[in-house]
Parts: sequence; structure tokens; C-alpha cells
Amino acid sequence: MMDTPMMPHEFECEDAARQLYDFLDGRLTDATGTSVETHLHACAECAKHYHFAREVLARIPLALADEQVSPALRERILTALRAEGFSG
Amino acid sequence: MSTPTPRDAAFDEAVLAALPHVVRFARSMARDEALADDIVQETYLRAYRAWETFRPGADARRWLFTIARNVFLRGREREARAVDTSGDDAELESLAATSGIADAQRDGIDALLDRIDVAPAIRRALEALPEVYRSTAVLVDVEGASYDEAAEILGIPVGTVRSRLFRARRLLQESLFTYARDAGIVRDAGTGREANG
Repeated sequence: MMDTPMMPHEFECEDAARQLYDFLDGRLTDATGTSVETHLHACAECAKHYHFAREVLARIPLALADEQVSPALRERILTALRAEGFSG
Repeated sequence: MSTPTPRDAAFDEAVLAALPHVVRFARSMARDEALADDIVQETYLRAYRAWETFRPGADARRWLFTIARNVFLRGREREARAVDTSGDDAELESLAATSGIADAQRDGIDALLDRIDVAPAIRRALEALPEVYRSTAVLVDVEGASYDEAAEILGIPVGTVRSRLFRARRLLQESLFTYARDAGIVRDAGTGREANG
């Protein structure tokens, strides 16, 4: 299982890498989450890794936010539904 | 236009309101926009016919995503079975991701996010992902589905959702790095070429 609690002194950069997205997605137990946080305070490189990954993840929904449904597609669906009896 | 029946008014409120999300999810599965539109239309027809089976108060988006996924898979059942998921190993992916991020940081991509609009690069990178990774990333990272919800919609184990996300996100970060390198914004690690930006 991915979420195996570890002692802080055993927690190294490779462990931080394994837990990267589980941590950012809030999927870790308190013990493992604390181990990650402790490591990030002590390791500037891993802290940068996490910061970069978090920033990229935050930008993904923004990148797709302006996608619109074309009026033609909406009308096409309504037409198909009305053929089925939809009264809206 | 006549007043909608109570049934259709409820359908309109719960289901038609989710149209932008269904379109986005359909496009995450089908690169071809015309095919995505076909999936959306078929999804809505199936939803309308099965509206009586929808539990009031349930998550309409999740229901529609599941229908859309089934429509998509039925249309390409053979291809779906042939997808190679041998790389769905989360631990391996996490280590690969570490390497990729380390390379990117060494070459200055960390500053990229603050210096340019990365939205076009993210959209291109998502479009370039294999379907299994793209649809998982869109469900979780765009639509906000939990791992469990994504697993149910996609019909795969939660562990596979996790490993596909790892790979999708890694590929996305690699694409951003390539974008930055090609734009001369970060140093080319292979040649030592200096950044322009």
C-alpha cells in the first residue's frame, strides 16, 4: 500500500518523491503527512519539487476554464432530446 | 414554447446544466471534436431515456460521466482492450517524476510558471496525452473527482487511477519543460544553451 507510515529519520528524498501527489491530493495519513512536512522543512530541493508540482496542478483547471460549449452543439442536443419527447 | 413537464424541468435543471462538464470529459476521451460531440449527444439521449433511474439529489455529473465513458468505450471496445497499461506502476512513475522535476528545476523551469501564460502549453500537453491518462487527469485535476469517484466512472481500480495520474502529471510537467526549452525560456540541459528569457 502506498501510504506506509515512516519514522521521520527514515524519510528521505526518495520517500518524498513517492508521496508527492498523495500528499498534494490530501490522501496521506497524519503520520506520513507529518513525515513529508518534516522532510520538506529540512530539504530545500524537495520543497521546490513540491512547490512546482503544486503550482502546475493549480494551473490545469485554469487552462481549461475558458472552454465553451458551442451554441450549435447545445442546439443539436436539444433537438435530439425533443425528438425523444423532451419538452424543455 | 410550451411549459416543460415537471419531469423535463428536473432533467433540465440537473442534467443540462452539466453540459459544459460533459463536453470537457468527452473531449478528454476523444481527441476528435466531432466524435466528442457525438458522445455528448448519445450521453444525453441515454440519460433522458434513463432519467427515472436517476436518484434525486445524486451527483448528476458523476452519472453523466459514467454514461459518457460507456458510450465512448462501446464505440472503440477493441482499442480499449488493447491499451497497454503495463506502465501503470505508481512507484516507478513517482521515481520517474522525481527525476523529471529535478531536471526541470536544474534548468530553471521553476521560474517559467511566473513568467509566461502556461495555459496554452497545458492544453497542448493534455491533448497530447494518451486517452487513458488524459481522461483520468481531466476527471481528477479539472473536474475535481476524488480517486474513488474517478475509479468508479472509469471502471478501474483506485490504484490504477493513482498510477495514471502520476504518469499524466509527469508527462504534463515534461511537456511544460519542452515548451519552455523550445521557447528559449530555460536552458537546454543537453546542449547547455543559455536561456533567452
